[in-house]
Amino acid sequence: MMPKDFRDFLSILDAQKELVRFSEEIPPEPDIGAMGRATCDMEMSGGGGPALFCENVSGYKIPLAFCLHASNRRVALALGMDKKTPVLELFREFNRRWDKYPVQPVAVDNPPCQEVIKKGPQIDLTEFPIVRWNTGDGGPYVCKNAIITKDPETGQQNAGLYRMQLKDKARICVPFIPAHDIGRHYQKAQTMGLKEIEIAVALGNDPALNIASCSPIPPDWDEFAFAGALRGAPLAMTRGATVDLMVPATSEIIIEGKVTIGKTHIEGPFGEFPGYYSDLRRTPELEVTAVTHRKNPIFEGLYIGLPLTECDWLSQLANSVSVLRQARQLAPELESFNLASSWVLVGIASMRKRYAGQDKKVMSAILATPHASYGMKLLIIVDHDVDPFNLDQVMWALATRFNPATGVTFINEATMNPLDPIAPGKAYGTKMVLNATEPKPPQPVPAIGIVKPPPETERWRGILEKRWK
Amino acid sequence: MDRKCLRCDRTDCTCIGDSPVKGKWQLFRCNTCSFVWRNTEESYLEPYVTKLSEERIRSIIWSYDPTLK
Repeated sequence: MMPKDFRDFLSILDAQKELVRFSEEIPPEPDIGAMGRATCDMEMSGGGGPALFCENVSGYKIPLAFCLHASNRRVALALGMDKKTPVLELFREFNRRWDKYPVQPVAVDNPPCQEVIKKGPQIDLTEFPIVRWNTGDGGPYVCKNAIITKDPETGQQNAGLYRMQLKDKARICVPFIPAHDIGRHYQKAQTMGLKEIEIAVALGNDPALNIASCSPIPPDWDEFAFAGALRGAPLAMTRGATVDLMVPATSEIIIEGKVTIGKTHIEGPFGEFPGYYSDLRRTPELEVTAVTHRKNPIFEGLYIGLPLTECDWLSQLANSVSVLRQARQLAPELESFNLASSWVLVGIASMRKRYAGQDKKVMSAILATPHASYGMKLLIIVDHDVDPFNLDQVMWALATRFNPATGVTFINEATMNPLDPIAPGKAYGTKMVLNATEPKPPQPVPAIGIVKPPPETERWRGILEKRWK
Repeated sequence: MDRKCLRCDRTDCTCIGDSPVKGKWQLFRCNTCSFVWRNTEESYLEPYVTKLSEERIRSIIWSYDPTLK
């Protein structure tokens, strides 16, 4: 069943036993971050970790939900699928829905997100349970959002997910770089001689919109129409209360305001997705002009830190599918691609290889995609019989098919992710590609073959799974 | 009482919020280095915080700032 909005998603998670609710009083620090860390650890250890809902974060009147997308099961539920769907099938379905773009949003009046409107002295961001997620962070952070801006020339809107450090009742910073769409809008506004850009921040969103907001879709695409494609129905949008932007009508909370061009303040450090802190820097700040919300709003948070954390599950399908689709235009033999968020530094591609050297063609196509060329520093290429989402199988391919003497390619002086802890802020360096595919003629091909499962293995697996329960 | 920033040791700090449920916490911001913390964190947070000198604070930039020439 496809979630209708954020609250419906919570109900689905409840019904699917994917959500643990806490009614007892819980300190904002260090406990909320510790709970996020613990459930991600549980998820990684194979036993599964739940989404969390704290009704009583100490000192706050507004509840906090977090780690809602922190598993492939809950990403499947966010997309209206069975929570037991294997990740490779999720990947394929995500790719199919990509083809449904665009499903344009519809405009509505009297939206739930504006049931309460606060302006001027009524604005107080400290009423929301915004917490310090890790002890080395420079302050409390909003980590799960859709930040909405528009191109000052064309008027086209964009939504992206960015961290935001709380600074005051009506000030919160918005760090971005020119490569981001919001950075492009900022830069264009500056070139046009504008003094400010308008921004709206949507929180507690439809779960498909959260996925769309961190999807590297083409720059001329609209994240709201992409969210519509993912959920198979249009999003409802409405005009902001104080900004000339369309905002999602069913979101729990909307923060509206403006960023003054050229005005920056100190931000950070912040425990980022690679598992290291990003350093202090100066960044623009949002001066809030209105906060609107539903009656009895629910605040949504996201724990981020040493991988894996929620951002990995939230963005893995979109990151992987975007690279696959772009690279396949040049290399249709590319079969699947795995690029988890924490691994934008590492990608794993599977391919149908027919001739010697074909892996270099796949390599070149992948490295030419914007997302991989920007952030990825290690690419592993495997054959189509290896599931790139199954790391045991990938390690087997490395152990058996990778030849260290011939299977390594270096690309020097390439663009790199500035959050890569090996070269913080440097944004260029060396990429490496490991070829873990089988050789093809005229390369020497090993005479020995793969050990295949005995006949009847699948039937016996079914019997064993039934008896084991 | 003057509050001292846990990061740069300055005392120019602003209380930016009191807990909506009275008496649970206060949020502070350092007006020199922008560090933000809750008074309920003061008993344990300092060892995790990297200290900032005046020189270091002055050197912090937005390296991507398009308005920089």
